[in-house]
Amino acid sequence: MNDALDRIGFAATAACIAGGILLHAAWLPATLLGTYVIVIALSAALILSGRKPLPAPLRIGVMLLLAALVVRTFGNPFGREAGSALLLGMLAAKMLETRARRDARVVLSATCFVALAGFLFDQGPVQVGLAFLVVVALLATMALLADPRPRPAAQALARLREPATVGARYALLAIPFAIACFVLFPRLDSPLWGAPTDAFGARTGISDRMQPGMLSSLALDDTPVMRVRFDGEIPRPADRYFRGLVFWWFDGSTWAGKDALASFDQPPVLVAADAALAYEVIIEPTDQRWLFLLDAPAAAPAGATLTGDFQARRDSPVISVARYAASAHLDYRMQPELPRLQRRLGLQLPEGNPRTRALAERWAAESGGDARAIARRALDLFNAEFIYSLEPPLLARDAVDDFLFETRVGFCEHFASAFAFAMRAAGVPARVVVGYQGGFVNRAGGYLVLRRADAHAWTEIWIEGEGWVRVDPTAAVAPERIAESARAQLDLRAGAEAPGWLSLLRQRSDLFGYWWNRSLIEFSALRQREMLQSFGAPPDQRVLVALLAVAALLTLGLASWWLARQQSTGDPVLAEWRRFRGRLARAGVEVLAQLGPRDLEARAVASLPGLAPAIASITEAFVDLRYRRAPAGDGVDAERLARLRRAIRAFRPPRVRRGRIRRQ
Amino acid sequence: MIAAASQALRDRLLQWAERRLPALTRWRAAEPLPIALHPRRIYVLPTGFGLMFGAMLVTMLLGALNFNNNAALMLTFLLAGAVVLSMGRGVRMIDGVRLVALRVEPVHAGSPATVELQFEESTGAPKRQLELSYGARQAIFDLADGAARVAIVIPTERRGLQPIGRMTLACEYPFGLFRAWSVLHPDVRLLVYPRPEAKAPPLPRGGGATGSSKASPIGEDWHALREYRHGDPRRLVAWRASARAERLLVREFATPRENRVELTWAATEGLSHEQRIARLARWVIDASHAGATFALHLPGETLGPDRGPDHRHRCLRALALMP
Repeated sequence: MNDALDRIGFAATAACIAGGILLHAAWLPATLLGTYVIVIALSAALILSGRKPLPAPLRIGVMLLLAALVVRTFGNPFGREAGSALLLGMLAAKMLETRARRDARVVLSATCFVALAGFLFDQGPVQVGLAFLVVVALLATMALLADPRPRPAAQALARLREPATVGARYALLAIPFAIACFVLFPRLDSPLWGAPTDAFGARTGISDRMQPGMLSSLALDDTPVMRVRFDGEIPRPADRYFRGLVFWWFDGSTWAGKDALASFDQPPVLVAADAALAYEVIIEPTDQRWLFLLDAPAAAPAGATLTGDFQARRDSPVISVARYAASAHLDYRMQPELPRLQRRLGLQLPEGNPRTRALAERWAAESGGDARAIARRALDLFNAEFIYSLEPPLLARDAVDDFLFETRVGFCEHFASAFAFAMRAAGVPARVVVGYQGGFVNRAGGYLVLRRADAHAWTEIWIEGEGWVRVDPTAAVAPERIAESARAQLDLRAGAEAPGWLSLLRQRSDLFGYWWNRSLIEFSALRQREMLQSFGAPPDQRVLVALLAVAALLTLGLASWWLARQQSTGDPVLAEWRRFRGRLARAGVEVLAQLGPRDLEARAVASLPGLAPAIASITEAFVDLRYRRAPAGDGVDAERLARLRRAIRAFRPPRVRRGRIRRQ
Repeated sequence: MIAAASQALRDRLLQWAERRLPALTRWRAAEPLPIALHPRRIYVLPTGFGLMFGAMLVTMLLGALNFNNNAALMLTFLLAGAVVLSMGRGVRMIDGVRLVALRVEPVHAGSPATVELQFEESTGAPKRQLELSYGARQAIFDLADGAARVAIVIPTERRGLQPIGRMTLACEYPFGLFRAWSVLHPDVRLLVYPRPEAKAPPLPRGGGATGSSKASPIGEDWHALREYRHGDPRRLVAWRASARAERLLVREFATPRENRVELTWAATEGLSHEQRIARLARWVIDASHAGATFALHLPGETLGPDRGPDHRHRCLRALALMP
């Protein structure tokens, strides 16, 4: 077996790995990215300069070093990031010892996995497009490696064209088959094995604790988080609070929810005063279990549960684009009876911040313990003297005191945190809620887009007879933040309002993203069944399999037919001549390879005397094109070729059945 | 040792299979030229790389389904589609190829014979990346313009008529994931001359031979003109006389009696059967090289006296086919 790998084959394999790394470039730390590129460049330099591979101990050393680097970067070798980085590192190290075709093929197979892993991070249109290009490169390299003909170094580059064409052709022709399988391949309702829960590092976005600066770091991030389509009118901005996490525990600087609290024994109690508003959410992957629901959630979406403090927790993390349907009440009373545990947690206070405590106690005394009056005092204070800013100054040790009495500049998390602290100090149960607020209506698509910049923190206080009531202290400082969005407000302040056409373009591109997610990325077993039902077919796996078989045969058959047709023959004149010979053979003329055109003509005329003039003129035209010098001028040959082609297309001798020729 | 034993076992198994399973092994029997390959006699199986790639695709499919990652699923199906499409392409490359002629020059046992095969194709589509293998040897060729000539080298061991044997025409186009192949077993046998003895005694001199005349292999005395016969050396052609007669004439010389050699089976008395043949073969070659006229007396057959390449071939052939 010819198992040698020439330089051009090596270079193509290295290019495929480089493409695989490119698919991970968005998240891969720069140190790792640089190291991988250096290792691959080193292996390529060794091969191209014709040197021997590095000695085995050195190669193993490089491999271990790369693995150690990955573990050092991520803390462990498991999980999505570390796993992908490790795979890429091993591939880069493998290039150092790739000398045979077999090695290159192992590398190519692993590169397919690399492309797959890339989709764990991003399934957007750009990533999918890049991955398609990598597939073309992979197939082209496989075609290059499979070609056993020797490649002289001088012609090596010219010889790349054929495998590149093959790769692109097969990748394109496989698309219909891939779509058919995508739509009809029976999906799993539930994972075969558990999707890793903690294996995924948190993505940028809301996390499970709130520190000062967490939300302001997102304020300029326009990445969409979720898109919401309402069954009726889109609610007013002031009503668009999408509730995510509820924080009870405060240690002086950080708010956190306690895991134990997620399983409150008290059920969520909601007394609704209006009809439920139904909506549907397409959410981008968050790698977290919680969902964001419009306040106040009427019920948990399928596959999730609603905790006693109205957090929606999914059974599995949202690791890829997901869809859920939910409904909400805008006019409600939440938990009119306060459970004992909630009261205790809602009044928990850390040590410190004596000035705030004193102030809150004074408020409580002056208003006679009326929760609403205390809250109004606090909001009035915020409204009168505080500044809403993206870049608040750092706070000292008693963070709440420092904020309330010294800096007086903050972002929503500062206001929520200080307000909740003050309320608790005044004896009113309070908690912090984090989620998304406001959003941006895409008029072209008729849906609401919530971006990372819309992340928001607000508070809830418990009032006797009314239950948990939402109080947004940010609204007291910067009401426009609630009416519009943080981003729009910042743009306004900088005097950089987007022109109309740009905003229209943004809406259109977001609409494309919405469509992409809704129709491609979020397709699931459920949607598959819905699709079958909409065609009136029973939602049965057997129906799917039967449909799949038909569709696969159809798409593959068409693609094969196209491939057979596309087999190019090189010289167009010879191709036409071959077609002519084929027609003669089918008409029963014995076409032998050693016959020249003139001999064939004689034979053909002898057995098909009726067609003698046509045969003679075709032969004449062929001999003319193939053996005589072309007269001056460029266009003449194409014209003569076209004439020959027409003559041969028109040449249709009666067919003789194949079997008879064989028997002869 | 083990390799030889396993080879023998494989040959035994193959023979048994061909006796017992004619339907399966029909396309392996020797057949006369031309041999046309068609889909019914072309086999396809995945290569090692194909199996590895397939296992990888299954793993990718399970992973993508498990995470319900639709882009990953699409990637898997796209690769699978390309793989399935590539499956039949190798067959198409071989389909329609015909082995129309086969040419081989006789060689002496022990030296390799070069077999030249003439392939043609009848479908009109170019055939690329074909791999003809004979044992461990391979030749790679294209049939881009409808015909190709391929040379393979076959080792020889024993004198006699040696069957060409089976060869395989295979193609792994386009990705090397599947191998399509067909067995070619042309019913052609290759003549193998006996291996000449390495250190043989000099030629026996018939009728009191004197010194040989290697310097002037052609006799001194001009004798007559005769018709050109195939194989006559060109320098013997009498050009002027030919021009006059309008046909090729060759000068014939009276060979001196001294230069006539009698090679007899009896002269090799005392050697083993094969050694006798080897010695006679050596003598035939030497005599022919010396330009001598010689006769070969074998049990039951006498060749010559004559000379020239045709005679040499006849003698060596007779020796090769000795029982």
